Amino acid sequence: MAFELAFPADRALAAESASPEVVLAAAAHELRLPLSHIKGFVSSLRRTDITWDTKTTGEFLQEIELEADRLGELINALLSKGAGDRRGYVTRELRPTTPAHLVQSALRRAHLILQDRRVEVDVPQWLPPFRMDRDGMERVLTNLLENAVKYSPGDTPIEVSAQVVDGGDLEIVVADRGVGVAPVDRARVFQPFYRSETRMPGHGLGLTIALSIVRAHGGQIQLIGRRGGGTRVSVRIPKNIHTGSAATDRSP
Amino acid sequence: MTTVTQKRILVVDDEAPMRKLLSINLETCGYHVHAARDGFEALQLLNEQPFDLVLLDISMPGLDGLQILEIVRTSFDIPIVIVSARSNESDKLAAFSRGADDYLVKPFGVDDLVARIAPRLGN
Repeated sequence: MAFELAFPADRALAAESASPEVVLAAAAHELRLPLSHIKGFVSSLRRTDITWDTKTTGEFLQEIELEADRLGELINALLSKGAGDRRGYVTRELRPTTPAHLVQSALRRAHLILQDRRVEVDVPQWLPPFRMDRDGMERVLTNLLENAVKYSPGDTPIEVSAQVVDGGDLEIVVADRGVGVAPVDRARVFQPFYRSETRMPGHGLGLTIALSIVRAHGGQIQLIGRRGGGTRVSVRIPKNIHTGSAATDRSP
Repeated sequence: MTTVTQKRILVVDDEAPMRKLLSINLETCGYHVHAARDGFEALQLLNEQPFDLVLLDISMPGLDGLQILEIVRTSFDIPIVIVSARSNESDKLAAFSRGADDYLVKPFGVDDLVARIAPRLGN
């Protein structure tokens, strides 16, 4: 009954993992970041020496809400004992969503991360809708965009594309012209807090969270090298989603 | 608003919400703020224009805060305040031994930050 695929990211998960102390320290650090943003925006709003205008107040509140969501997702990811656990992410309502709509929403959600960064979007409006947990898939794309921004030069574009591939599955690709990820690390970066010895900075939990959400859709996620340097992250969502766990999505 | 005496602060943090948060608040306190998202951008800005204080994160991709601290200390004599989620004593000692002037652990309140940097800017 389970929709089993050979997840490229799976193979590394059973491999070496960091000691509990290292994981705990990394987790604490990861949790402090959104918390520090929340505290910062709240203490800004509470300043008595200044009155913020309505627009700024609204922006601050939006930031607080986004960071609270991020905190919740981090906690879920931590409780899932890493991406190897199928309970890592439980899909919410699966709704038909067109790739164009999904990508636009994710770009809106990531606007603060992207700032004035050039993003080249190649997602045809006519691509058919796929059933997905819209909020979760937005988070997947936001995490991939965040990595692309962090690990590639500011003057290079980030590319987002979508297509329907063999068998009718949806493939979304986020690509950058950054330092790239060594082949030996491409599966390992999905481990929580994995840090490569090849000088690649740690990815915290971003890819771990992305993997658990994509897997909850019965899909797969994969890092691929690029000719000319950089990374392509490919996310595949099946045409007929079988979540395996959610009672909301049993075939009759 | 810009005056000859307006103090200039460089914020170095890879997290966009933190850059926004620090920039907006410090600007309302009358400082002129530039923000860099990584070490390379920070070093470029420091070479291009004068700053009176640097607020520096530690955990960043590329050059991390401690490396930046070492580089900046060899060429510039300006106060550097570390703003980091790392709270271990060893992290603080590593920063102070490289010449950091102060160390603020995230999360922190805006008032706390302002109170710490104001004296270093002659306020």
